[in-house]
Amino acid sequence: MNTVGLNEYLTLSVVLFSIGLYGVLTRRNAVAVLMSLELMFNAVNISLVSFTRFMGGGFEHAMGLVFALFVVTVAAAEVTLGVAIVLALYRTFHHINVEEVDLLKW
Amino acid sequence: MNGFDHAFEALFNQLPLPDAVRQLLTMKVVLMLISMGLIIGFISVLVLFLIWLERKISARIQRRMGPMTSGPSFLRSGNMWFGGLLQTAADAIKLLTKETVTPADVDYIVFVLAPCIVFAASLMAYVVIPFGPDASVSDLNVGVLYLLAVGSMTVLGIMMAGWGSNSKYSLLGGLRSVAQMISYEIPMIFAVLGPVLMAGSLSLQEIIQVQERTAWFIWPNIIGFVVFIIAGTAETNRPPFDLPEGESELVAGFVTEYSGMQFAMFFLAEFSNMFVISAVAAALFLGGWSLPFGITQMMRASGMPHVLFSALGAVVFLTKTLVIVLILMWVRWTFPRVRVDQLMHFGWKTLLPFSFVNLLIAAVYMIAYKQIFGEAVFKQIFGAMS
Amino acid sequence: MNPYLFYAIAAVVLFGALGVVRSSNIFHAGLSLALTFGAVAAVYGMLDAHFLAVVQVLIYVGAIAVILKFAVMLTQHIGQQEPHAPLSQQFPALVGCLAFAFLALYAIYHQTWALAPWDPAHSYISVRDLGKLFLGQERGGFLFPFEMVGVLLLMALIGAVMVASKEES
Repeated sequence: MNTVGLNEYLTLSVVLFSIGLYGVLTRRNAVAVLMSLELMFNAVNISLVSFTRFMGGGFEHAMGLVFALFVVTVAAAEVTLGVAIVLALYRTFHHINVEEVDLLKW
Repeated sequence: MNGFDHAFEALFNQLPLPDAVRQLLTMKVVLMLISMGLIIGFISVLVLFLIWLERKISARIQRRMGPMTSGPSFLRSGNMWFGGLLQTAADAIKLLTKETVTPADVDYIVFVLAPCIVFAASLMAYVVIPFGPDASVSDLNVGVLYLLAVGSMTVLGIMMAGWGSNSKYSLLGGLRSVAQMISYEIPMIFAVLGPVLMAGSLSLQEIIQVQERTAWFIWPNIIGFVVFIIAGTAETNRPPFDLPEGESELVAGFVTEYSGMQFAMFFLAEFSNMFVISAVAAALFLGGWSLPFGITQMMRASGMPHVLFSALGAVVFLTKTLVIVLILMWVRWTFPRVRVDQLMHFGWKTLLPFSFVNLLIAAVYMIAYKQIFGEAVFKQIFGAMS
Repeated sequence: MNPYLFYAIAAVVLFGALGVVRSSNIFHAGLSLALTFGAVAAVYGMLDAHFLAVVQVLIYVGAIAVILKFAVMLTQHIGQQEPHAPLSQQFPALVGCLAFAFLALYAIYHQTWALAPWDPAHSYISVRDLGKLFLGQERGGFLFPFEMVGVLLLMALIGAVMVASKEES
């Protein structure tokens, strides 16, 4: 516990990811599923940035940081589309319970 | 060497203090706490002064006299300009002693947290404001972006206020405010990019230092300055963009259900944000604490004590900020309120293209400067902007 | 100072995350999510990625949390509670997540990473360096993904407007 190294940050990332995974599997509200998905994105970003930091940084190892920035941007785009789909869903079914949206199931 | 904490550390090292006390006082945490206390004290006095100023200016524009009776007695008798100085303090005491009414059906956590978040966001912006050379609480090297990020935290607080109040006026006001703020954030970011491009850095102190070496950034970026002032007015929900708190339309918008100290926090946050916008405009476009025509460079080279230099810089900065605050107040009492569809059209279809044009002009200016004056002068003035 | 700060911020992150997945009121879940985003921004600050920390607050807290809360406001009544999933569903999910977490942690701790020390002169990636990386076309440059992300955002914008707009009947 003297200094905080790569392992501690990766542990944080793994725990956050599994909490997000639990949320995606368990929650029924579509917006709550989107929120848990965002937790998973953040966990991945933490691990990417900690790899950049602990492998020395600089131009050679900057890919982690750049990738994390791209993940932020793509997550923003994905949330936009997800919310649009949720709104369209609500307009049709008048609820957003993902358990009950099963018209295509046979 | 930027920062109040370094200044305090130097001060504590010079004073004759017992060693244990000196050790305690020069700890990083304590220095930071002292700087924050200084800023919070400054903000309290400042907001009181700004509210009084607003009431006086609005009164004079409307050909009346404004607050006249509460204040020092030697100013009271018939002095139009400075009467009623302590009026705001009286108002603050009134608001503090009012009963905080919480309606029964509100979502209590959200309702109570919303004014805290809004006020905290506006306080957080003071960390990077450059009051003078080496006189900012902590000069982050992503300072400009930090200010924008803190502004978007206000959006969250206002939305919480609108939703948590469980009333249709609040919800409408909150949603309108959020739509307005996120629409006007983008022209503000692009307007700010002009000075950032010209200085080659996101840090506010560095932008001011480049302006010290060359002219103020307002000249190539005049469009950007106007865009920033307009977008800043919209960001802080000030008239003519105060549709969310429209006093005659939506009862009081998203602050309808708030009373007493919670209302005071929203009110104080609005004035505090207005000061931040003016301070940022002064720092980015008007040269911050530096004087034009090389006066600051002469002052720096003349070897005056650094504390005096910083204090003079702070006076210059506050003067410029006050000028812009006066412009914002003047605009408030001159223009009628903008309707919500006019607001959105204006933000997206007029202000945004103008901010793009400003960015283009700033880039062309930089390239032309390099071509005309040569590479060496360019590097010397604009730093490491290669 | 440093380990305590890390554990404090990690505690806030995990507390916020648990609030997101276990809260019955979706609006409160949105607030916990905003808190988690803020704490993750603090983690980035500790990892010397200051630009990313500020971008995280600007985009995640300022835009993504806001849009998720808009979705909540448009589809829920205030104070509407969502019941938790039945235990028959929660238990396998919990087991699966714990299994994944143990597997990943085992892989992390039984590995020797090729670490390098942080060199204050060369290691910090400033905004200027990021600019050069994003606009570089050579081997280590990211110009092409940068432009593609711009196109992606445009597609997302147009797609979201089309999907969410009311059909003219």
